Order: sequence, then C-alpha cells, then structure tokens
Amino acid sequence: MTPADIMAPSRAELAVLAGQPSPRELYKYSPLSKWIPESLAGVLHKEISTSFATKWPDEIRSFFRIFDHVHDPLLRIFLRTLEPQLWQEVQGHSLFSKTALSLSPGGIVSGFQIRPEISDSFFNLKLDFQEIEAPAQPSITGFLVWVGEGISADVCLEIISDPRKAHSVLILVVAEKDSRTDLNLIISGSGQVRCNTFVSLAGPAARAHLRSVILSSPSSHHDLHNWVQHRAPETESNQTVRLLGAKDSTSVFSGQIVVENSAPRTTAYQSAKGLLLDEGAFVYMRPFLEIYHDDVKCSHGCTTGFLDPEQLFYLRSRGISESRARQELTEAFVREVFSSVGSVIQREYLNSALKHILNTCM
Amino acid sequence: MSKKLLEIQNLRAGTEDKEILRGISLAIQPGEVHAIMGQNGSGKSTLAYVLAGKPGYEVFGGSVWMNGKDLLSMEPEERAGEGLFLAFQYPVEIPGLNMSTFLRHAVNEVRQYRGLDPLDAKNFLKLVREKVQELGLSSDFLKRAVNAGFSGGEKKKNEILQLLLLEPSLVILDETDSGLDLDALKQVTEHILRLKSPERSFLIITHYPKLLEYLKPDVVHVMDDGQILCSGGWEVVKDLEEHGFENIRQSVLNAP
Repeated sequence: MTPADIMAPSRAELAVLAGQPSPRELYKYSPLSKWIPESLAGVLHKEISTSFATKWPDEIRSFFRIFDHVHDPLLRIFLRTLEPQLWQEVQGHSLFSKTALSLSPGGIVSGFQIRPEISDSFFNLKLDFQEIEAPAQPSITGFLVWVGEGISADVCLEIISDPRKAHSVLILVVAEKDSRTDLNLIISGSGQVRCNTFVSLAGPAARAHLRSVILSSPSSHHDLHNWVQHRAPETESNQTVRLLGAKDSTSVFSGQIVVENSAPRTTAYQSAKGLLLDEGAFVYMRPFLEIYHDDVKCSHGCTTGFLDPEQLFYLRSRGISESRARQELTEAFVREVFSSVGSVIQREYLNSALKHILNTCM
Repeated sequence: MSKKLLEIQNLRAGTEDKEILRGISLAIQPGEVHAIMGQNGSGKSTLAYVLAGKPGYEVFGGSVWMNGKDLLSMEPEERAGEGLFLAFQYPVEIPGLNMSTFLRHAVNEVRQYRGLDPLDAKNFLKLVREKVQELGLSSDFLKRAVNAGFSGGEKKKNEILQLLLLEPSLVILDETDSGLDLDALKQVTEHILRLKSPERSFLIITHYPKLLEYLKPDVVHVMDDGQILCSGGWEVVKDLEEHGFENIRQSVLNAP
C-alpha cells in the first residue's frame, strides 16, 4: 500500500464530503450539477474564469452557442469558461492514456479537441482513471469532436472508472454538412463515471452513429446520458446501447433525441438493451424523443432482462457447458453493438478491447 | 435382441403444474427410425424437450435410459455428449455470436466429453468448411451470427450442419419439415437420409406423412393427449392419411 492509498478517502467518504446522497439514489437521471460537487464548481469557476476575458476564436464561440439551451448550470460553466488553449489537439490514429490528464489545471479539468481534417480518420482513445496518480478528487474531462463538411471520422473512447473518485466525461460532437461521425464508447471499471454525450447534427445530411457499451463491476456506478440534436434537414442519427449489470452495480442510460423544426426528413433511431447478470444489479433506462417537425422518422426500443433461457438451452443442447454458454451469450450481447462498424480494423479493435475487459473484469 | 439405444419407461412429465406426458413407453434400437405423429398439443414437442433436458419441464415419474445410463439425471450438455441431438423446430436467433465460434465450442466440448482431443483451429476449419460446402451453403455462412436473419431453409440447414459435426447416435427431429417449401424439404431430407447408419437412430416428430415417405420409418407411433395411442409400421401412416386422426382414436377406444 502506498501513502496515496492510505490518504485516499473512500467513495462513501467522498460522497459525504461533497454533500452527496447515496450513489444509487443520487445518480439516477441526475443533472450534472448534482454529480459534480459544488466544491468542484467553485474551483472550476475560480481557476478558469480569471482568464475568461481572453480572446476566443469565432468557431469556438459559435460552437458553444449550439449548446446555449443546455440548461444544466454546471455544464454551462464548463462550456463557457473553458479556455480554448486548454483543448489539447488529439492526433488521429493514436492511443493516449494517463499523461494527458496531468496537463489540466489542478488535475481536474482537461479538454481535448478532435478535428479530423481528412476523411476516414480514426481516433482510438483510452481514459484510464485507475492509472492516474492524482489526489482523490472528482474530475471533468471534455472532448470536443468537430467533424467538418464532407469529412467522415471514427472516434473510439474507452473509459475505465476508478473506485477512488467520481469522474465526469463530456463529449461534444458537432457534425457539419454531409459528414459522418461514428462514436464508439466502452465504459468499464469498478468506480463511478458519468458520461454526457452531446451531439449536434448542425449541417444538412450529417450522420452520426453512437455505439455504447457499459460494462459494470461489483458496486460500480456508470452513467451515460446521450443528447442528440437534429438541427438541419435530412440528418441521421443512430444510437445503439448495451448495458451489462454485474452484482450490486448500477448502470444508467438516458437518451434524448431532439428534432428541431429546422430538420425535416430526419431519421433517428435508438436501441437500448440491458442485461442483468447477477443479484443486486440495477439498470435504469430512460429514452425520450422531442420532435418539432412532422416529416421525420424516429423510433426507439428499450428492454432489460436476464440471459434468454431459450438461447442458453440451445447452446447447452449442443454440448456447450452452462458457464461457457453464459460467457458466450454475454459477449454476444455486447458484441452486437459493434457489428455495424464499417471498418474491419476498427471493429476488430473494439471487439478485442471488449474481450479483454470481459475476460479480466467480469 | 441387440442392446437398446434409448428406452423410455412410463414417462410422466410436463410443466410445473400440468402433466402433459401421461405415461410414455418406447424403445429404440440402434439404427432404427421411429416416427411420432399426432395433433397439435398432443405432447410431441414436450417429449422432445424432456429428452433433451430443457429447463422448465418437470419429470413426475418414469425413467429414460440411453446407452444404459440414466438420461434424466444428466445436464443438457451431457446428453449432447452422450450422443443425443435435438434438431429444433424453431432454432433461436443469437445476434452477436459468430457461427464458427459457436460450432468450434460445440464440437470441442462434445469431443472432450467423448474423450477425444480438441480440434485445432486449422483442422476445425477444414472440417466445417467441408460440411458447409456439402450442404450447399455459401462460405460466408460461418461469419454470420447464429440463426440471425437466416431464412427458414437456412435455419434448418444449420441444424443439419450441427448434426453433421456432432455425430450423434440419436437424432430427434422436431417438425423439421415445418416452414419449408417442397424443394427445401427434399434437400433437407436427402441430407438426413445420408446420415442414416446402423449405429444412428432417429426419432422424427411430424404432422405430415411427406417427410416420412422419404425417411421410411421402422416404427410409427401415434400420440394423443400425452399417451401413445397405437404403434405400428407404415400402415399406420396410410391409415392416418385415409381415415384421419379422429377415426383412429375412435377405433382404438372402441376396441375390446
């Protein structure tokens, strides 16, 4: 045990220090301001707003205006006060982990900007909170994904939560005309993570596919909130989410689709499925649609349950042992999410990442 | 008389609160083809599921012996290892589970049960590709998810593919003829015919005599309300076709 381990308060202690109620009650569908303690809001404000008056590039300005009607006060603080220089450029085709976070002031707020300049760019990122040697305090990590006109990009983000502290991850996607964005997300680990994904389909015929897998460990709490906004005609969005509930874990998915009046002939789909693996596993899901135009195609589907006994019996009747059958079906359940990934290399990358987590943590 | 492959003695079984099979007895010798005919709800599929060990079914009495071993005390996977194979009427779709992964686990776990070495990736692929070709399926069949988006014919062929790979000694075909057009039925039947051997027995569950015309059963049982009404040779099928099910029931009930 290192001194840092001894010093680190437990999650429960942290929650009390921050004046939070119990995790299970609090984090169900809670706004970001409840997830991030007031103390952090104060730090955020103090540390960054001092340099707020400095010049902002126009594009960043307009970017933040897109999210003007996001009413979560803390998110607004975050969006408005974040100094553009804090956004680190993320190189394509790269994989980064712990070092990147230490760049942020106080180790609590970091921003990364992903702006692919050529089509078929891909970004494989890993955010492993277990490897970050920082004091046990909550953090916000922001990703700004800006996909320009006619560009196609794949972003894969692997988030590993850490039991010592609660973290929040913001992913902001702006998709311009005729662009395609694939955002593949894998959340795992044994701590608390909340991930807010805001996608704005700002240009005509912009397309986005959000694939998310939330894996849990005993007592983990993982929270995913998608917010997809259609602003322009003929835009297309697709959300595929799978949540795996381990013993005494909590997983939350809330997914909102907003189709503005300015977005006729929009297509928006959402499919969310939860699989409860053990006793005391909780999966909360809340899909919702907000549609302000008649000429749209939108649908959502949402189910939670146990492994299908018919599938289990089918495999066992072919000589496959029960434990192996359960393992294969669990893997199949999450693997299905990435079956629609266009690039074979990316699909393999995601599936091997999944397999690794399932083999080591579940 | 040679050793019995399967012997069912006065089997009573059903779901939690309902007895569906009300005393079934039958014996199958190695190499024999048996057929069970009967109306909807007579308990044909229940018999198949109870033999295969489907959870949710309960045995209230009687016994089932396979190769002299107590079948009912075994887990479903052990029954498969022992040589029992149930071809499902409606094979379940498993999105996300790749055909070749599924088949490799099945083949190697069954081989392990039978005391054989597992096949390595190369030999397994060679074997499975050969069988896929034999069935006239395309080579990307193995890359697809188990039964997901398969046509009716593909689903049934997939059952036959597993049958070819697992080399069972007792094959139960649960309405394998349902949902197939005449051409597909003929194709599937031809593959089953090729599997006939002196060591392999069949128990065929069907509504229609068409499948039986091809497979020529040695014994035909007529099932009614969880019991075997009568058994016999091909003449039972003829009788059913000519006089209908109700007449047979009446004549059996009125017999002295």
